[in-house]
Amino acid sequence: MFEKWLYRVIIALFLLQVLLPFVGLIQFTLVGGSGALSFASFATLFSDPSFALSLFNSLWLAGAAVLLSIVIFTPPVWHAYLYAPKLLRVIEAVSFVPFVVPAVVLALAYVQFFSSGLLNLVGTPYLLPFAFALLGMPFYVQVFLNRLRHADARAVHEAAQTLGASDVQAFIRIQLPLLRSGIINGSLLVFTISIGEFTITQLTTGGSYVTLPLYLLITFTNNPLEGSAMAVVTLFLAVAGVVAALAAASGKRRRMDAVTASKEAS
Amino acid sequence: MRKTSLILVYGPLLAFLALFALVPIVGVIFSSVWARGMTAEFYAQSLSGQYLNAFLTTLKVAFWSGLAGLAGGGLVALSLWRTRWRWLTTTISALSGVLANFAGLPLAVAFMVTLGASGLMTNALQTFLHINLSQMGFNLSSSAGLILVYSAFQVPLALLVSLPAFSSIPDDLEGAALSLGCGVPGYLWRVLLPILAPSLLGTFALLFANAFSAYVTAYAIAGGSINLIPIQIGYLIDGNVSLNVGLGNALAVEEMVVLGASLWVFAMSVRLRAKRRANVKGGLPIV
Repeated sequence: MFEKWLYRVIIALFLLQVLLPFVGLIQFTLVGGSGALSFASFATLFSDPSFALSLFNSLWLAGAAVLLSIVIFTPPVWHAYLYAPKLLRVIEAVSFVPFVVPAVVLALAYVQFFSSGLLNLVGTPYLLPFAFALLGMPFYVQVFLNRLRHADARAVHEAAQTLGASDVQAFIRIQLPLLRSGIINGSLLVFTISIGEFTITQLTTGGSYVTLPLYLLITFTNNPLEGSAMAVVTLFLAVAGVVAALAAASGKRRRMDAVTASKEAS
Repeated sequence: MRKTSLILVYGPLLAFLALFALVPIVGVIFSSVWARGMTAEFYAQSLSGQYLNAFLTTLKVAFWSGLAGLAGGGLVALSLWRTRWRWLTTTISALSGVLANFAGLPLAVAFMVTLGASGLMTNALQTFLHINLSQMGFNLSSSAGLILVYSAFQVPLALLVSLPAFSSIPDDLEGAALSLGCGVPGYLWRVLLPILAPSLLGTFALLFANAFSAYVTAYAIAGGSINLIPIQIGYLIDGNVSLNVGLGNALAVEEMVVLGASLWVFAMSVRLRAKRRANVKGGLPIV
């Protein structure tokens, strides 16, 4: 009896610990200004033209990163899965690069490498979609591979070939529709990571290109109320992204994806 | 498949990895030991004075937040596993999946308005319990404050990583231990803990790496007032101190070595678990 109560207390303390900061955030956003319940901080935020601009900047960067991930990662992972299992293991291992090389080190490397000559990209936003695609690579590859295994892509591909389809025909007309959900889930994770990326954006552009996270920090410094409204909005965007990705992923993979995804944010 | 189509399939990936990962990173490693000749100067610099302090502070924050995360997450996983509430386990796993992703800016802002100088909790403690946090020496941007903030994502992460290890313990193990005269605490301490040790060590290594590389949360909360390796690297890029590329590169290489080593430990623990699962059929616990 005592044991059961001990476990309940531990679980309750855990919930208290992890939820309290968010209760504090929502409380501050809604009643922090005047002491009475008010949505004024959201009104200020949404009528701020620089909010719209940073939203636009973040959306196109995240969209570009998703497109890059689909185009660059999908064909080689698919091909290696079917024809070159050893190469697939290499691709998988390489995809984990962002875990050993954190964003701040990548930023340092980019600032030196892309600062002269043909690839003078430091200070422009054009480097960012590539950097975001690299940060998202482990998640995209894992989610897509999971779908490849789950959908038994190999058997389907062999059937298509027996019926006379070429590799390219089979890839475009049969494999892509079959693997669509993997591509969509991977894209969602890349999108969520891109929307929240702060480090590389700030350090390679010197803070001159304002995306949602940069805008959040600037606003919070100037006007904490509007800043915390912004944090609430970001949280909702992130929750929507993660929940959509988790809900779509199969039950067994859920924990793994969440574990790997969590490496990114810090 | 013809050669041209193979190039079309693998070419973009190779070019992408070369341009945005391999070459820039090799460049960092190379110029950390090279300035008109081989030199250890940057490493000497990076391991002295404020940079040595930064290294030690980062180790301290990563170690304690990893340990706190492991203890908290491990206890919650144990509780969920022992109470056997399916729906609660599912709900809390999903919640942790979301929470473990909330490092970074939103979390930093949430903590600042909750436990900052005039935050919700700070005020509530003052009003109802007459506890003044700042008089007690608590400061969110100290290393103790950061350890507390980090545990908001470390505990859920530890829970997610260690829960599968708990649930793969066979049910009859407890009965066997109890019938041999070992009480519940003895079962947990002397049977369960040794079985779970490799998994827990791996979890700790993952949490350690996670905190060791955390930049955004620390930057937003503490900015210039805490001396961490990622923060120092960021400063060197920003040019807040006179630009010393070689020093930044040396710090970056040290960061990569620490992360590489901890993630290697994590990978080994995952592999050990897979190996046990393959070797042991039936009888023994599979963790």
